[in-house]
Amino acid sequence: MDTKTNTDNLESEILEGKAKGGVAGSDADIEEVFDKSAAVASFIREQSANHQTTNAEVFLEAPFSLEVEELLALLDELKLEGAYKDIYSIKGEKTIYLFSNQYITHNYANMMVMVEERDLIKLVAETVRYESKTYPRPTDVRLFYRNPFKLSVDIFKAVLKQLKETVDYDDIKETKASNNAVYLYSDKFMDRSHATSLAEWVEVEADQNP
Amino acid sequence: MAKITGWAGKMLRVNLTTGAISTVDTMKYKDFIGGAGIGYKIIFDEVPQGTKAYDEANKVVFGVGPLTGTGAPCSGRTNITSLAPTNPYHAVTDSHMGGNFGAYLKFAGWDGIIVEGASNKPVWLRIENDKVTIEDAAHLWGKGTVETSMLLNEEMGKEACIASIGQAGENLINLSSIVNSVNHSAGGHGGILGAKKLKAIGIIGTQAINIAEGKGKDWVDLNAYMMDEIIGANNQHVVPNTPQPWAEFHDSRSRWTAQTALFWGAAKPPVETGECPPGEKNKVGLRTQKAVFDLGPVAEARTIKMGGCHSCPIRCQSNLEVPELEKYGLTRYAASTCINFSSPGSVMLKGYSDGDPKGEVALITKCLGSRLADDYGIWSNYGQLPRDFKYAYTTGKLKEALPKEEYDSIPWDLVESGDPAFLLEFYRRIALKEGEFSHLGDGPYWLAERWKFDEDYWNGNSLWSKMAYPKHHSNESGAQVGVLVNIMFNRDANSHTHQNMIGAGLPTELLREISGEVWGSPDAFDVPQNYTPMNEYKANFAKWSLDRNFLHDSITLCNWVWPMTVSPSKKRNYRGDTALEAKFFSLATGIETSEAELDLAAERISTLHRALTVKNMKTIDMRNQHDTIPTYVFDVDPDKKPFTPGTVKMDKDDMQLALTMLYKAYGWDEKTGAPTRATLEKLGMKDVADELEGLKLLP
Repeated sequence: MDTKTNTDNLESEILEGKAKGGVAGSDADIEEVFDKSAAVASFIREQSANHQTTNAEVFLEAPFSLEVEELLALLDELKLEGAYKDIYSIKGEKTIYLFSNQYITHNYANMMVMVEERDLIKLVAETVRYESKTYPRPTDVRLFYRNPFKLSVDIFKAVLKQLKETVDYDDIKETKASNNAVYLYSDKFMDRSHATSLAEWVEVEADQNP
Repeated sequence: MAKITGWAGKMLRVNLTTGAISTVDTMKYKDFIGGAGIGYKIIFDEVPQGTKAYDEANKVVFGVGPLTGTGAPCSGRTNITSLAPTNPYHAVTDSHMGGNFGAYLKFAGWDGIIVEGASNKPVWLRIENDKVTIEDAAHLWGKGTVETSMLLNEEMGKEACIASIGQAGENLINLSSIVNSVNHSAGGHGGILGAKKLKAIGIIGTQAINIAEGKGKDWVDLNAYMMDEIIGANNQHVVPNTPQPWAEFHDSRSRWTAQTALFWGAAKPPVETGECPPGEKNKVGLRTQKAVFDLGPVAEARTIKMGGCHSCPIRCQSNLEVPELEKYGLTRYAASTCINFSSPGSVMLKGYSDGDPKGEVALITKCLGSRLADDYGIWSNYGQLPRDFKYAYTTGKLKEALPKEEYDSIPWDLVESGDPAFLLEFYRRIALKEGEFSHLGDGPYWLAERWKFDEDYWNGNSLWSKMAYPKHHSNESGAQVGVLVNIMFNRDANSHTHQNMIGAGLPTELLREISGEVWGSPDAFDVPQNYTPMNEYKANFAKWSLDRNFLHDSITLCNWVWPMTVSPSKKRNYRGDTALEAKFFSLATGIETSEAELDLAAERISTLHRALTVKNMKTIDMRNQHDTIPTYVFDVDPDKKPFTPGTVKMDKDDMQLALTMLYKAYGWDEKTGAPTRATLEKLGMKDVADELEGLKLLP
């Protein structure tokens, strides 16, 4: 396996499924891996405590200066080591992101990664699908104006327009409550009638039944 | 004899006809726990059948329980039990108030006050520990609850807690409340105190409430466990209303509003709620920024703090600074929550002058209305009062009913322009019994008779039944479960057990898993607005919701937060702890009691309430005479069928099956819904069975 030091190569490694870690041979190696693991985990936790995910590329640079293979191996080590069971990774389109679930939940980290990746159409569509499937509920579009999304109204409107024109996301539908509040839902997971009635409940009826 | 702990051990009996003051041994009622349970027993035993709410023979029981004032989280409630003047049968109801009254009553050494008879002149009751006197209230009569409290606090000292009626109660307005500490109101029984000429009760209590010997550390540990792992926000919502890094889930309807950059903006200096994840018990009180939830973002800058009841960490009562109130002759401070804010807004039939339902004018209107209602002592009947006003106005019934001169004297221009000043007219006319308009305060049943409302009135306007109350978390809240909860009482169902679970904010599949563990099958819990036909597990859910409500009103705990069916804790996989009431009860009383045993006591109280309703209504046919369901429940969404996605429409046959299943779960007669002798005896109430048999009211 070639040693690659730039982020494109790291991405390739991940996408090609080559991201398998090596096994340290000597006691000294084990000690070294352990130290690096601790340092990497500590950095990830610190970032997470500040409500930030960690782009794995940061470890290719000083002060860590890990080689790609070394980093990938180390990340695999983290998964196996009980002391680092709080460290999780999410594979993005361009890199991988790391976080500690002591400070950030997996769901929130997923949102942060989508924001980081700046694929706003996917961000909206996947969020809506997740909510329609999980809760299930239609998604109040005002969600995207808040943390961690923080889209402006104009940007959101532009994204929504493009989303509606994207075949891959043709399951994402819009409905409105009687107060004109806009909600989105995925018809893979929710019936239109159901989505509309839930939106009406949240927007209008719940206030009448406090 | 073992020392009595948890309970104070004695209740106060005050006869206003004779002036006699005596004590009653609480422990002979301990199977009924306290509060509502003891209230029902006393009303069942001591108030003759056929008594009407304002009769001298009616009694009022102010009841607290073994947890009230102990420091158990959310244990500051007071339960008031009496016959209801709004109910066409004058059947029994409870009214409930938070604040400090209940705890102070315990500190004074009392588990309850039984008020009986009637005075021939205005009086107030002064309680300073064991020293109890009936005092002249001539100087208080005609005054609002605010001034009454101020005068009695001047007399007793600021450490006293004062509960009083306003002018509405004095004038026997059916929709009257009893208010303590100026803004903690209990709805429905104010007029009864008015009939008895009892203006107020002032309490100073300086005694300790004991818990079981040697259980202090266990108590502290249990409290810490609940605060760290179990409790959520108001309504036991367990997820925040915005995405937050620590939170796996979120829900925009959650009352867990705390977040970064959200403040109590009028505090000096402003207090940021911040994020308040589980495990940080000292932040529980910041989780619910209820002013913003109730009144919108404009309330943030006006929020001085979130207040609440004795021993409650949730703090759901908004304390606001609203200088505009001074224009209407009030102080600039407002404090209220929930329906007391929304109800005055509904009076403004044409909306607000700025057209914004969450704007500044709406906030001022709601604060003004809530202060006026609390000062006059007017009860909104869970928001039904303004709906009745709207119905009467829009159908022309109001114009028909009022003399022309009176109708023309009402400043309708204020309604048309959305001017909050209309509320001054609205509440004053009702409280002071000014003219025909004041009959809006009679309540739906008597009003509909008096103003000859059409039958369509009963099939809309959010009314539930001719028992004269509105729906309160009914079919829109858990389908059959919500309906069954709504048929049980003689006023609006103040049961939040089922609604809190449904609104907790967690994914439905998770809630279904938990439902399976608590009620026997995940099928107890439906996806909201996508319902399934009735099953026995839903009957379990409904019965459990009712029983826990009766338990909370007896023990006393706040049913707006309890029970702890779920938690915000991911490490617990969001499981709550439904045995917590029993754990606190055991530690307080020293009577080791399992969750099942305490649930059985709750079932006893539920069944006694049912038996008392049978006695009040003089019929065993609860199914057809009491447990009625409005037709809109079955007619809503004409183009949809029941049990299809997107409708709360119910099926008539299915609901009759639901009634049968609930009756069966209680061991009541499955045909009529009345308690049987066998069930009453199983629950230790042979005397109740004997009384009902004598009245020919056993199935």
